[in-house]
Amino acid sequence: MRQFFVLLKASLTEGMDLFRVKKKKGDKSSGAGATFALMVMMFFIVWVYANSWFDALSPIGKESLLLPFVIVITTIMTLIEGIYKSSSLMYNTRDDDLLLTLPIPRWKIVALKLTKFYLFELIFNSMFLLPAMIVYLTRATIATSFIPVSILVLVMMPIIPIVLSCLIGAVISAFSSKFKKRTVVQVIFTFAAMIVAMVVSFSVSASMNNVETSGESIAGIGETMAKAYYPAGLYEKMATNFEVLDLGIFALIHLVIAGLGILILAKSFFRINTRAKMTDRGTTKKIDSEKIELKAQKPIVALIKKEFSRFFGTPVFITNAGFGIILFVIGAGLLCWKFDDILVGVASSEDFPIDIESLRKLIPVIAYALMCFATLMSFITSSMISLEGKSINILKTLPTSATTILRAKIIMAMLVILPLVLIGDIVMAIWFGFGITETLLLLIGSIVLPATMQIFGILTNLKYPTMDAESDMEIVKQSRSTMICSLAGIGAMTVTVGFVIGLALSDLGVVGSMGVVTGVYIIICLLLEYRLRKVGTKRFNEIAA
Amino acid sequence: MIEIRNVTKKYGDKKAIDDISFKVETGEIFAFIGHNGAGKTTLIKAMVGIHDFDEGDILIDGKSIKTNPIECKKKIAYIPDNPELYENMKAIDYINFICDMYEIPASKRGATIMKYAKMFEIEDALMSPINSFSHGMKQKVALISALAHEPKVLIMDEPFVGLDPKAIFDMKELMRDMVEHGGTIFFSTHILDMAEKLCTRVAIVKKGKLIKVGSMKSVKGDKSLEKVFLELEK
Repeated sequence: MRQFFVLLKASLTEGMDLFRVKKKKGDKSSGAGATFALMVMMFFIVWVYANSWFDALSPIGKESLLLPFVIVITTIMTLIEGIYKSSSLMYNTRDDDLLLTLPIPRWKIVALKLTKFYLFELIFNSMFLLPAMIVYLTRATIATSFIPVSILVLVMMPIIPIVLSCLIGAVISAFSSKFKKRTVVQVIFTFAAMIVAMVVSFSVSASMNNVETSGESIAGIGETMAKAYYPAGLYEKMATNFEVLDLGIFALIHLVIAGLGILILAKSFFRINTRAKMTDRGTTKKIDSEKIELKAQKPIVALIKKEFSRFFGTPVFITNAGFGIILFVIGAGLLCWKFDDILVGVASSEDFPIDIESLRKLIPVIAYALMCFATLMSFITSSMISLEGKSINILKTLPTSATTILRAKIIMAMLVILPLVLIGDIVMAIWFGFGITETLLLLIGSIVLPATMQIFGILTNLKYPTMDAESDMEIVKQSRSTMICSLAGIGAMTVTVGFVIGLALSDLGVVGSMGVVTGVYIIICLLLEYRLRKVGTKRFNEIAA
Repeated sequence: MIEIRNVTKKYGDKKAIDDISFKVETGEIFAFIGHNGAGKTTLIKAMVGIHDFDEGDILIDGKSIKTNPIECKKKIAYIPDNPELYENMKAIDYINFICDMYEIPASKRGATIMKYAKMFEIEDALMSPINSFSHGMKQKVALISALAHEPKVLIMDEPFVGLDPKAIFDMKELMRDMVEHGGTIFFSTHILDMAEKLCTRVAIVKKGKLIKVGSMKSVKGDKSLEKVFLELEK
């Protein structure tokens, strides 16, 4: 066991860049302060929501349903995210050669990788679970057993979604490794698995008839969740009526699943890992040395193509960037298809006193809000500097300015985001018959908002680069830069959506609201671009790899 | 062609390079030798624009890498000890990408690339992705991409590591040929026998300080370079 902890310590020292407080050589940033500040912000947002849910459940005496409600939401999030993280985290990582040559059994290597994954998810699950637990602790009548039970629940809750997502990831990796174009197959199957997980998860709350925030509705969801996910129901039971046997069953379920998961994954680890390391040897076609013709391109075009090659060669990068955009397309489709039903549902709500005609006028703002969700949550550039790794030295020796190199990264990110978003905008504009001004503002917003966030992403990555990660997944999902950008994106989206809807309901109206928000983003975008030119290029030259 | 003027580079309080000055003239093959951690790679990375440095200046063909980095880089080709290439690209695409960055006309690329690809016996692998290559093959791709733009100055960090004997022989021939045609070569190495036979001048660095620089003959005298190096390092 000592051997395992020595390995874990060494591995965590290398891998947990996000929480590194000490400055590294050449790191002029102020440590993990920004990460923790944003985590506190996230904690506060969940705490506010948990209080409002408690307020809704309290009058009908079902406040304990807050607990399974939050647990299931957190578990679903962990599972969906875990599916696309797991393949990159488990297989073909930088430390594989070292680990596989050490005299340790394979199950310990698998356990090590799972433990790292678990510790990371534990921290982020805590941001969602802890506020709800604290709200319940301070506002409900609780037994003394609640605190130790909650601590155990907090510690064990990430285990099941992590093991499940790693098993799904193993199946996807094993299957995709049989194909020549394994990256494409892996991405397609990862998306498919994530969508299936979402559909199954949401069908659990099939009892949810509308999106009202009434107590009965939340109670209905909470009860369904407690029944559908046994550990969540068990926790609710322990919180209201503690029995040692329930605690034992809860712990046993999680420990058995963890043990079984490690054994199953260890059995297939070596085979899948070996296949994952095998590379596509490409075409056997040889170049005709007499007729070789190479196309010349401008440096910026060559750089953008190079960025695309990196993007499409990294499954976790594609799934991370693509998921929000695909959700936007699904959301836009649903808005077109089901808008009348949503309209009737919202208009009949007692909590939202607005008539159908007034609501209909808000459609462009709703489309704008949907676009905000897709564009403000997609941070492709937040990991693009880190993904260079040691190859950043190639860029630094090229006779090209740092500004051009950074712009190429931003343009590539925009080219990934824009096509589907703009198509979605145009479909919604035609379907709902938006006016020219509204359509233009939506289209301009769809360019300016992602541009702002992509510049912010690259500036953040320049400030917090991770040049020595063990895997691409660590950079794309667990680095300080991506975490700061994700949390900042959630904040920006909440504020922007709140403002655009709030201003639309005021005297400013729909066009005024969209105009003001777009205008503000144009100013922010220009300021960030200025900062990129002044500070970004300097930081790029300072990065050591 | 290369002038190092009182260059100092610090990592915190530690001086990785301490007030180093020397010149490398056109047509020279210049060896830069020293123990591991002596500061060789740090100076080379400063010369090619990867690292900044705290004091002094580095001139390439009379232009400062600090104030005219792009002009300097156009004249340089850099080959690192451990080539980190864009692994998702095919070898030919990577080489072509580097040609794009140096804005080499399309008409000039094919013949030059094939000349070096044949020399290093890698022409059959040009269509394969770099992530399927061994260290030596990657080194050859790095070499071809570096030579494709016909640089005036070739700066290399341990260039022979990972190359097969035939490639080492060809590489030495290529270096001689390059300086005969007015090029300049600066490289670090631990293979002292090779440096002794190949180079016209040599510099020895110890703990960031330059302890000896001059023509090969003046530095080693009647002894071998290896013996002189070991004596100086004591």
